[in-house]
Amino acid sequence: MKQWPNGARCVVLITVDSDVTGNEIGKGLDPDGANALGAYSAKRGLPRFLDIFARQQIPATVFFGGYDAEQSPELVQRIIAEGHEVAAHGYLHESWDVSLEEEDRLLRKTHEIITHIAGTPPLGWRSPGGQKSAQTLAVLRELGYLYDSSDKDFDGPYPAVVRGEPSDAMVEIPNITSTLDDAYMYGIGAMSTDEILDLFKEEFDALYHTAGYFITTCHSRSGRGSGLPARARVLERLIDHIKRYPDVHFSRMSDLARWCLDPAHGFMQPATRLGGRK
Amino acid sequence: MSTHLVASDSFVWPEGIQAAATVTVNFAGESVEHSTMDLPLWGRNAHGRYGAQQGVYNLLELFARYGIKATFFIGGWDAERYPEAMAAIDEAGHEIASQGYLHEDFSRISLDEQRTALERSEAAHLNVFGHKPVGFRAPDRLMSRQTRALLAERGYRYDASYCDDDQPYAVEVDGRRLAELPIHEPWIDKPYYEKHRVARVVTGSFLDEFDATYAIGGLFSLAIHPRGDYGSGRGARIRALEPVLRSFQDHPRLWVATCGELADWVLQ
Repeated sequence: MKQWPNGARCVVLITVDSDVTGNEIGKGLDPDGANALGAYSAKRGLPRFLDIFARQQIPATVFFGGYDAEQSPELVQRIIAEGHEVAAHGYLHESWDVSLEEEDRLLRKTHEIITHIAGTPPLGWRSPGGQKSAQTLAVLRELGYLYDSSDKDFDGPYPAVVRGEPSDAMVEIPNITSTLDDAYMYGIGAMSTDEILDLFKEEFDALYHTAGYFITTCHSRSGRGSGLPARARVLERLIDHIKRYPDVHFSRMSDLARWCLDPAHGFMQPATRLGGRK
Repeated sequence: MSTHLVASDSFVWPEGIQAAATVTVNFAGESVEHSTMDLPLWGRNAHGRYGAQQGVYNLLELFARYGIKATFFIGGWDAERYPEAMAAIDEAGHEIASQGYLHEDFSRISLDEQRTALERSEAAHLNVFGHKPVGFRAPDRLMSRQTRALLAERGYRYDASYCDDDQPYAVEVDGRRLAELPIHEPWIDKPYYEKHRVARVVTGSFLDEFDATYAIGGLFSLAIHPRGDYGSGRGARIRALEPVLRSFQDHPRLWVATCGELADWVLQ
């Protein structure tokens, strides 16, 4: 029987993909003009999100690329100082295929950068483009990571599959496409703020009454994200909405990972639908 | 710490002003189609022509009704192709600025090619309007790391392409100062209408964006196109802009300015 921390009925994970200029630089674009979306994240969007989290008194998890962390160390340190978590998100937002050697090098490089700047090693990772290689989680486990949050395949945490086997030391904490604010919402979808708030609320209402597991991923950028004032307000309104429900527990990702890794809490038995997953 | 990624806290609006708004028009006539294919342009390749012979007049009529002085960003090729439309814009007292020559992608052409595009654009503006442009917005706001320095070097006073701040700011390049007037994707008609969103949704989004930007004392730059495909030139879409312009009027502490007026304030 699965149990959430604090005897909660629903756990809520507020996560941010900070995606500063490294995203564009990785694609070979100058982070200028219409491609300066990421600079906004460091200058305005992320500080705005942190102000919201402080006002709401909730913990959050911010995924940072290694390059972006090098460019904005003071932001990484502010996130930690305010009680949130910094997790890893590629070096230059590699959302393309890299060789296994290059992948290994970049995972370690980003790990060292964040560890050095934050003063504490990252415990989680999310793939910048959603893809992984057969070795990704093995390298991360070796570096001490407790969770991956790249998949979108289950309403709740489950044992991560490391080298083809369900791990007893690493957990997958999946994210949800419908509560992601990037391309399909504010980019390709060109949805308005009220439509997106409705979409997020609808998703939360359904998950609160079923899996008791809700995660949202907001980007603090200008476009393809929620950094601008009206869109950040959607995030805050969503938080207000969630708080109206009884027995909700907001958690940092690593705290939930540690909780789930304790077999007594019922998450480490491979779910049947995922048992044979490679 | 890289200072270019830290917002300034020192910007202030003029006395009694809470926030500012600009109405900007990206003319984007047939230069859009012609930049990727040969003339003649007709049928589905003539959306730019709708803008030049119908949409822009609909917009001018709307602006006159609301007393709006807009800023038109016009490519040199378009300026020379549509003399009647240019005269109508100019005579109505709107500000005219540059958008390159033939809808170039400034993020992908060399610095020399950028310079050539600006030269041709300036020559066309001088010929059509009697003066060179002092403001610039890159076609689709795409530009390279060098573009702003090139603009400053050529005597431009402002750029209105970046999306990296809530308020205008000044950029120093080689001892010259250039004002940056940021503009964000949700304030542009194109991303909604190229996905065929209904006008009601666009009105709602513009109103919400304006409301939140006003609340934080930012600059709200509405950016619209006269075009028939992804622009606001058609009737239902002209109507969709009216609540936004009415909302501007309902905010007495809002400064509705042209881009040039804002640049003057930033650079003073």
